[in-house]
Amino acid sequence: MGPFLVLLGVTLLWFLLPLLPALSELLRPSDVAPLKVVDRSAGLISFFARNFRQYLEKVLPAEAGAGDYAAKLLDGTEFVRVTRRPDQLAAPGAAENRLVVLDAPLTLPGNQTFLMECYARGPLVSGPETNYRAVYAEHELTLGESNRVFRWTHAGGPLTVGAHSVLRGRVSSDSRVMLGPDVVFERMGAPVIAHGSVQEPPARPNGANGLKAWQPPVEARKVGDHTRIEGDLDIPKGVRVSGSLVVAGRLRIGAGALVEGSVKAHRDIELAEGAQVAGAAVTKTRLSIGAGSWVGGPALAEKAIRLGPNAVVGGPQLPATVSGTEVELAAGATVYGQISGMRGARTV
Amino acid sequence: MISLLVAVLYVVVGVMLVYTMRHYLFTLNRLFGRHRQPYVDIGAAGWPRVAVFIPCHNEEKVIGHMLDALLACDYPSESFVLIPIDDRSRDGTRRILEDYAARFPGRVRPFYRTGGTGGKAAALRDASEQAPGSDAPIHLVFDADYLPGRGLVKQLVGPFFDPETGAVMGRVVPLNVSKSLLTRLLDLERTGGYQVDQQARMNLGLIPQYGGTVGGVRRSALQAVGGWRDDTLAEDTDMTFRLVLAGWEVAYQNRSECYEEVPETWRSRIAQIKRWARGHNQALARHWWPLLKRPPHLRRRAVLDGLLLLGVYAVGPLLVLGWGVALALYYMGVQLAAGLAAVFAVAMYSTLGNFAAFFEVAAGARLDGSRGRVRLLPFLIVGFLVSLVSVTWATVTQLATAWRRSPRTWEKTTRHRPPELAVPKNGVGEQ
Repeated sequence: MGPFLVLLGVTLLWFLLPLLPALSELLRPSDVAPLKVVDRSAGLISFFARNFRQYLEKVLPAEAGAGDYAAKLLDGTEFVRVTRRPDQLAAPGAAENRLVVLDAPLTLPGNQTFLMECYARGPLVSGPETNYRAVYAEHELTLGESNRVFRWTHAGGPLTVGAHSVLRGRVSSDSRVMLGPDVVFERMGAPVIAHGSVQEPPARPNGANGLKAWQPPVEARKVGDHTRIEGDLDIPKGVRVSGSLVVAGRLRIGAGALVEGSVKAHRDIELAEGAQVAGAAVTKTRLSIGAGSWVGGPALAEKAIRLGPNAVVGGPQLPATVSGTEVELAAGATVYGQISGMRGARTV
Repeated sequence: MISLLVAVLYVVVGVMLVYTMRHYLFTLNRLFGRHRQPYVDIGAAGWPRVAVFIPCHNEEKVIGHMLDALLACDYPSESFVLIPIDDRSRDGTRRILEDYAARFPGRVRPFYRTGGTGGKAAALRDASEQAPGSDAPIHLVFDADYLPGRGLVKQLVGPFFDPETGAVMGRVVPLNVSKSLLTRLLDLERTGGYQVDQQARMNLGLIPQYGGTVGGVRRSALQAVGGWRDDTLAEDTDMTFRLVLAGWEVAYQNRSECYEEVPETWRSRIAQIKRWARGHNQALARHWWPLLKRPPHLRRRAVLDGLLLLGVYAVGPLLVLGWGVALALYYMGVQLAAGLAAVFAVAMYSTLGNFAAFFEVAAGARLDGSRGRVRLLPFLIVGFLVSLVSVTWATVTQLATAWRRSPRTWEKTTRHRPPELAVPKNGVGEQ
């Protein structure tokens, strides 16, 4: 009996061994909080910038006034405050490792590196080759050629980005963003974002009344409020399509044609020159919005999106989002709202 | 007789094998595949009008919190109406709704039901057709115990810019995790179900499931498929398949998370899963054949996934049947032929089916960045056993009483929120 009980005990222990971590977690819980996943900062482009602004309001000493001096924030972070003497900042070629508060309008000479955040209360112009960790400007912000921002950028006024700049993270303006050529960024939001010059959306879609009505192919079928086509579809130039379309293959919208609803394709969508889609354009692959074309709603592609010269997405009263794995904007391309490129967006 | 039993066993083993492979495929996809979330970045848009339906039956413990959370969301208020549906509540639900309607005229428009078929599906059907504000092109649905975050409504509406999207489903996240072993196990199950299962379906172009809450439907799609059916216990699964069969897509948004209150007692959990099983089985009976006929717009893999999704609650009884047959064959002295099927047959008998579902949950916990909670994984076997017995019992009784048409009633999950938090204090909900 003795050996049997020993064997039984050892067997039970052996069986319980893999359960020890589970029993430990059950008796002494270490991870019982609800997942901290709800309502994280996913949507708001200016989330980190606004947080930084709120942080400064809390930690900037109450007695800190305008002037040129260095001190510490309430949390011990060193900062430098600049009103009239920018020479307090690190010289060109050197790195500034304090948080920077700029009280007056300022033009930086360039070739500087700011290792901590930069907060500009007046208009700020930075020279070429300036590197920022992050920059928050209450008013106008002009980034010179080949500037780099590593975390986020926000301007309360217009934001101008010089050629060959790279803006990582979220970029936002409460007014507008004007991009130079060869600018690389990830997520950007503003009432209007343009490469080179701002284009207006068509005041009234292509004189819709004068366009010939499009006749769907015989195999098309009505699904709820949209027309579905299995296979590829070419919409001829200069026709008017009423309602929305879902195409199981590739979709090409001819020059000057107008779709009064939204379009979706399982493969590539191509809008020829001057084509217009009043609603959204959604594809599981690539979206090409041709020169002078217009998409009124969100433009979404699970691969690349290209906005041709003077192509427009959204409008002043109709914000929209451009979202794709990669986004490319030709000169004159204008987006009223947001641009998001998972692997990057760039101007050409 | 013996040949028949052997054949049954092999069928059961085959089905289990398919489900095992499905679990592994989904999990490996989530661990190593492309994460597909085409609508997650829609932040700027001309937001359409939205009606948010909240079916209520004796929800005084929770409804105030729900309305407060929705009223605080960042959706344009002029495009947004809340329609709590009070279906013959006998507690203080109506009083709370009247209070909110008075304080937020035009924004909170309760719809009171005093007759007709009972249950959530019937409540949704009536309100979506008759309630003022229900002409909005997008209908969202939340259960009354949910706590949506500020940006959730926009996130759920985003996919509807895609004209092919008929329904959207967000992710359910348990809030009362720390209450008991059960709530912790349900938290793990939800992790596997949403973070892995639903998102893998989205990634692979299969059929994510509209889950009846934290989601919504396009009104025109709803009308095109004939509206909500009130003769089902799982109006969500039923709607998923009617939409998919008609040519719509269901979009799953893994980043559109919403807290829920999971059952805190086994009694409540058992009642919940039995209801789900009966509803799901109804959907299986209705939709397996139309799905198998494969409408031209559906790919073969979507059909296969749809059939497996429909059959998910039939697996429990099937497994129990397999065990019974295996035992019977053993005592009848029958030796199964050697080979992979025999190995799986034995494994199925000795490991409650397979461990692929555990792998899925562990992978989900890892993707969520959880550390400690995944240690509870072995205890999931308790939850699985309870579910297995409950689902089997529900299925057997459903089959036995299939000829009888019983009246539809509310089969509610018990709410556990403390009474002192039931009616929000001064100013709650004010903007």
